[in-house]
Amino acid sequence: MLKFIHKSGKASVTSNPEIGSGLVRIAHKISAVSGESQLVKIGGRYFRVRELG
Amino acid sequence: MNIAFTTVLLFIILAPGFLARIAYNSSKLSVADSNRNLVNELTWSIIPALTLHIIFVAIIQNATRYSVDFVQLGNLVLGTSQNADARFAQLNDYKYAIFFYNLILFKTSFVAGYLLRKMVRFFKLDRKFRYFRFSNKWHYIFSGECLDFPDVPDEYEEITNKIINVLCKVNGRTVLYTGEYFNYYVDGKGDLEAVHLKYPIRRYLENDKAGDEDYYVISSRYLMIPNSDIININFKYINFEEVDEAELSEEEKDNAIQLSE
Repeated sequence: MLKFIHKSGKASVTSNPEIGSGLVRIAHKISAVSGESQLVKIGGRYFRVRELG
Repeated sequence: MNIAFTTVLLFIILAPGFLARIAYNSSKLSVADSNRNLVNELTWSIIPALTLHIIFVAIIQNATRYSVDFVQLGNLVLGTSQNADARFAQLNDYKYAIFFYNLILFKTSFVAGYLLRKMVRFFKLDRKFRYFRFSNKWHYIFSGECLDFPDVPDEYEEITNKIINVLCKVNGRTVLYTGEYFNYYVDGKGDLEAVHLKYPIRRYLENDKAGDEDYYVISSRYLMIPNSDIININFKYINFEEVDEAELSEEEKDNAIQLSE
C-alpha cells in the first residue's frame, strides 16, 4: 500500500496526486483561526489537518 | 615598490577571509547585496582573515621549522624601498614555502566558511538569532522555517504541506491562484522572481465567499506565476496526517470537511 505521508523531521511531500490536489481544493475550508486539528475527507480517506503558525 | 604591489599583497593577506565569506554565502540561503562591492567585501574579510592567519601562523611556528618574518612583511606592506633587492631575494628563498602556506590557508578558509554555514544550519542558529539569519528572507517564508523564529507558535518540523494562495492581477481582473508549494525563484538582487505551484486551482476574487464550484481546476500539475503579476501571497503551513477510519465515530465522519459533490 502506498504510504504518501511521512514525518521525518522535514516537510513531507504529498506524492499521491489525488490527495495532493484534494488538499489544495479543500484548503480554503480549513480554519486558520482554530488551533485545533480538523478532520477532512479526501478520496475516501480521512485526515487530520491543522494550520500551523 | 609601488602601490600596485602593496595592493596585491593586501589582497593576498585578506583573501582567506574573502574566501571564507564566499563559501559561507554560497547557497540558496544567501543573495547578493547590491550595496556591497569589492572594497566592502574585503573590509568585512579583515576579521576572519586575521583570525585564520593567527591560527595558521601559530601552527607554522610551533609545528614546523619555519617562522613568519613580520619585519619583512611589514616592510613589504608599507612599500619601503630600502633594501628592496635583499628583501625580494629573501622572498625568493622561501617562495615555495610561502606558496604552499597560502595555498593550504586558502583551501582551509573555504572549507571553514562552508563548515561554519553547515554549523549555523545544524544548530538552527539562523532561526533562533536574527544575527545569524541569512540574507534570503524568502527561504524562511517559503520553507516555513519562520515558524522557528522566536515567539512564533508551532515548529517547522511539524509542517507536512504548504498551501499557497497567490493573488494576481490578470487582464484587469483579480485572480486568486491556490496550490501546493513547489518552488520559488529569486533574482540576483534577492527579489522574488516567480512562484511555482503544484496542483493549481484558481478563482476570481469578486466573490469573497466562494464555494467549491467557483474554483477552476487548472489542467496541469504545475503552474509558474511571475512576480510581475503578483499582488500578495498567503501562506498556509499545514500539518496533515492520515487517520484510520475505524478510530472515528460516525459523528466525526459526518462532520468531516469534504469537497462538494
